[in-house]
Amino acid sequence: MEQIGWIAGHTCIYWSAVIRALAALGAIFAFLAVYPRRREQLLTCAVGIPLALGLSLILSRMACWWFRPDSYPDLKTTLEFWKPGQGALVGVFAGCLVSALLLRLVRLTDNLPELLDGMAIAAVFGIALGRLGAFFNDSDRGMVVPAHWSLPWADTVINPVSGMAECRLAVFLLQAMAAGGIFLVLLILHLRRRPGRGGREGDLFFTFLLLYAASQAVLDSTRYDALYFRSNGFVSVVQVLSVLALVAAGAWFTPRPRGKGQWLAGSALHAARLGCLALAGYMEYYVQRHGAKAVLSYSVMGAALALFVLLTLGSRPVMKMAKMFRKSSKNQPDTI
Amino acid sequence: MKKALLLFLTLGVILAGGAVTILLLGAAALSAPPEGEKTAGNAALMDRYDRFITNVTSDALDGILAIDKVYWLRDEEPVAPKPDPKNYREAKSYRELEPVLRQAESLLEDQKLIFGPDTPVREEHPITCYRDETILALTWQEMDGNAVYTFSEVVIAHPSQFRRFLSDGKYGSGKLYKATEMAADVHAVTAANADYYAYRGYGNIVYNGQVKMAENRYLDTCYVDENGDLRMQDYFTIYHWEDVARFVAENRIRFSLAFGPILIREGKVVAKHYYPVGETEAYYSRAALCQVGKLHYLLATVNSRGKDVTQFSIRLRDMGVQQAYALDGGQTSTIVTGDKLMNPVDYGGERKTSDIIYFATAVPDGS
Repeated sequence: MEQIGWIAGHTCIYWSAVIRALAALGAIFAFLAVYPRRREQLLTCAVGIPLALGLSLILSRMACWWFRPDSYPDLKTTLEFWKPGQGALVGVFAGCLVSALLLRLVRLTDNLPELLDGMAIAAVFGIALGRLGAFFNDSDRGMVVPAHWSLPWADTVINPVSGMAECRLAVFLLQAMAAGGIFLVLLILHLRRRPGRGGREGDLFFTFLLLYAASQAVLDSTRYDALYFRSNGFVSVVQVLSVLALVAAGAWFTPRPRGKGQWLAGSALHAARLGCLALAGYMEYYVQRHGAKAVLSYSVMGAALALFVLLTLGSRPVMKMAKMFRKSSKNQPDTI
Repeated sequence: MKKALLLFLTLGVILAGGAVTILLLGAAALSAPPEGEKTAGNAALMDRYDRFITNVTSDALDGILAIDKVYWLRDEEPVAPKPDPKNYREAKSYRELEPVLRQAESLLEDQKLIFGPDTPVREEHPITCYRDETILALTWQEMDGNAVYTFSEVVIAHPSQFRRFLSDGKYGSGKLYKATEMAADVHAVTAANADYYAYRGYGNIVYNGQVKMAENRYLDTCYVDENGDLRMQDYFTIYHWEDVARFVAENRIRFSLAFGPILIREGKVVAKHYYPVGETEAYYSRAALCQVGKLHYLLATVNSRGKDVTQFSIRLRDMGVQQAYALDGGQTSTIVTGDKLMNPVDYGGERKTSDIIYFATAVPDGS
């Protein structure tokens, strides 16, 4: 059920669509607030924003059609993005990434990491707002939970077949809250960023990838309308992409080892992170077979991914310490 | 540059604040609809009228003319009449159910039930029975070594009471629910998991008389026609859309299942040893849809230690099954009666799936 905001002629304007449009506008303003530092970057914005919007619209619908073939009758209908239809957020990410790469390719920017940093803040702000559209439809698509649960954890939705009210986990609201939290973290990191304080361009983007992927790997598992690959009906598309994003962020934040001490520390970090991913993966396997133990499973999965995040964000200090330790042990005087 | 940044930040904050305000106003205006409010049912007015008149006429003529009441359900309306809770019974033995079974003789006509006084019912699990003038459903368990068989024998008055339900009542919704949730939604008397069609991109799938997918190069197909008969078709028989559509029209197919393999044909075990789905050679939990006679069916699952398809088929054949077709097994294999899970599902919990088959009463609500 979609709440109609108003009717203009023969067109119904739904509240959730209004919220999504506001979210897109919010994301654009957030991007404009954080990205352009030099006058020439305004041209990047002027070209990049419409490009990202257009590609996101098309790719989000194509992703939906590819992963759920029955959502559109054919590719032609899918590409008629001015007509009503479903979209997948993963396509929006793809659209933004492709537009960033195109901007780099045509040399409208010479600093891709800086552009991605701006996009990350904008994206997570947009998601935090856009997911709130679930207040206006029955798309809070989580598992059935006890009836006494209430917002923000659970919400009442109407079963489309029986018409009965059901209490379901408010996944979209939880996703909005998670995205809101990540937005605050990124904004603080952005505002505190000063030359010479450490860190490098691209860090914000990979921090976004790390935190957002960790949250989605858990939350997407609780949805009952997750997207699946055509050849695999058990691990959702978002979960697979989340793992890839976590691995990419892990690689970004871990410096290349120089010397034996760093090599040992790096190996230990990789092993620990691999263990975290394995534990989270096992809990996904476990919860699919023991649905009654969902709270335990998701708690362990969440803890494992939180540890992964900590180990990743702590990689640079750990490697630095390993280097210093190695240096100090080398410089110790011979006591014999 | 700083001024521009400040401007955009201010605009962003105003926008976000505006969005949240609209949201909260909207949320405040919304209230949860009353429990039980129905939203389903978009049937054409004349079809509804037609069914209403048929059912009312049948009621009116009951006892006046020597014509039996005929109730039927529309395929397009997934929600069936609600079963009367008073018609459910639990018993520990055949003897306790004998009076109920005698009342169901008119439904059975000359057929014999599989469930009888000699059935080795598992004592720990009660026999569940539902009977009204349009349906008889008996669900019980039997042990075979460490394997637990669960059977639900069903006799119906009209083929339209044998139904298939896809999540959200439409093909390709992409939603997954537990079989118990779907059975409760559609008011099933007894239900079983089906083929989990959403998991695979192949199989000949027909829903409400319309071809939804035509690709049976890998999977046997079980079609259900307008008489409620199972029509089995081996894989690689027809797989072009036009051919499937013609077959559906000529044979008045209502829906189909695409998992398999075919287990029993005309009383003979024909289970394939090499089949692309269902690990046919392994000891695995299994599920099957069987036809015993005219409008007489058996839903079967085997859990715990499980069986390979041949063992499972032999067991079903020995019970008198004429046609049998394997449904999705493993943790998916589920039988539900009266909203209750009846079989010991693997790992102790149901898997969410995309579809069920179910049997419903045709007695209208409130009759």
